[in-house]
Amino acid sequence: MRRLTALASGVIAVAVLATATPVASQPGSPPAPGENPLEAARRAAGNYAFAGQVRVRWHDAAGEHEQLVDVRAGGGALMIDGPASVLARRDERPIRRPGSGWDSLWPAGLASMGIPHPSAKYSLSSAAGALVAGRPTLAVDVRRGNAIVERVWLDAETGLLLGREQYAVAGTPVRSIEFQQISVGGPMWAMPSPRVHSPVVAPVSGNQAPAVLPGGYERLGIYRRGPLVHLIYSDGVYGLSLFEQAGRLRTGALPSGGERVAIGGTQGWHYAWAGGHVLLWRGRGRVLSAVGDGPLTDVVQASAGVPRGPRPSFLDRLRAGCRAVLRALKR
Amino acid sequence: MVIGAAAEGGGPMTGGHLADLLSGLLDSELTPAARIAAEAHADGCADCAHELALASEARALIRSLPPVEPPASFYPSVIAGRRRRRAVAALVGAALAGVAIVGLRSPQPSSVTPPVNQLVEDHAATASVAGDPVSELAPVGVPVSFRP
Repeated sequence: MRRLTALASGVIAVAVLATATPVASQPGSPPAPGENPLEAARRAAGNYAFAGQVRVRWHDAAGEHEQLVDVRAGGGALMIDGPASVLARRDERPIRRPGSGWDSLWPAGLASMGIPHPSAKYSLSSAAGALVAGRPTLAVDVRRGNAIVERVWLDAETGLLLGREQYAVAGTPVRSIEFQQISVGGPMWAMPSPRVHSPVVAPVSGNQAPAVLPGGYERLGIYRRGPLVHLIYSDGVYGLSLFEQAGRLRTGALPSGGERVAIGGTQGWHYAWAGGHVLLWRGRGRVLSAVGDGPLTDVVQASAGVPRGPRPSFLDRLRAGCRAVLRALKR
Repeated sequence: MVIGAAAEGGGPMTGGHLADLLSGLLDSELTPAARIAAEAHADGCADCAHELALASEARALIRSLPPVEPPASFYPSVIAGRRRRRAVAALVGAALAGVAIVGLRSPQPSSVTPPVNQLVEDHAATASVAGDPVSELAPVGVPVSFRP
């Protein structure tokens, strides 16, 4: 991917989009000046029939990983088909995990979230990119200060996202997806239409969660699913999900491979996965988790701004003290 | 001169004299051999004979003293001390009982192990609604697996 980008550099003049006035573009076209390229890609994915193969690369504590998944879209639905399958139809997300039947990942009709424009945090610049899967592209560089954090390759004709690469501070790629082959248009591919039992996911009102987290993550919505409260944030390029669950973190049953990380004034655990980073840490009387697809430093910084919970009352502290005494006496 | 025998019976001699063996000799606590050796030493040692005579006299004097009655306040103070200790013990017991009641009756916070697999899938699902669906959902096609 970097080789392709190097070929493209210097060929076409760079158009700075960040400061331009947003202009709505036509469905299924490259982003208009000032438009969020990821919004344009989302719109294009809903307006074109296409099929191809995507290579997913990521890095975690165990080393480098790579996986190929098939992608096909048509009629407003999109299907990711790898060892696990995910179907995106309207706002619903059914999933079929390896060895299992279809299950609901997210029910329909809850989320229609507009994301903030990234210009408040990032500067975007675009230039003609190299061929990706044999198709001409528009390469959009996402920079924070002088450092490039992400490069997105959009199909020059349709606006479809053909590649996306995230970089570490040193400029080395840490995560990427890239179409290895793609065909656009042609016959409509048959999509499965599984009937799944939707989980109860309800919007939450009255939550005291911050509207904005450090790093410019704006809150888009709050939902409750069983014991979990799910707070959804975005900075315009990356999404961040915060999860709250009442209780005490049972550290003995945490997944293996976690690394200790400082989150504000407390210690937590960090895990990497193909889609980004996961943080787990203790709040006051609750367990906090964050899943973000931005750089780890961003996810940690935003998580540090999450209140750990209300200070316990005198009675709560008395109860906690009594339980501590009993635990000490039991030893 | 009788060091070895005396030492076997009841303790060391100091500088060849009876020293601490005197009380053992007076209280008949030495072994026969040690007693004989000690008596033989006292017979031939003026210093030890004098010490033995003084110790014997002091012992007799003490034994001749009349028994002393404790002051009237002695027994009540002992009893009050016992009551004080009982009161303190009762207070400590009550405090522990209170701790046990509050500690056991208050709701225990449940232990939570975050369902990490579900969390990352939920994140990808919602991020794909707000952002680009291909790049957000493709990682879910890779089996998500966080195991203890």
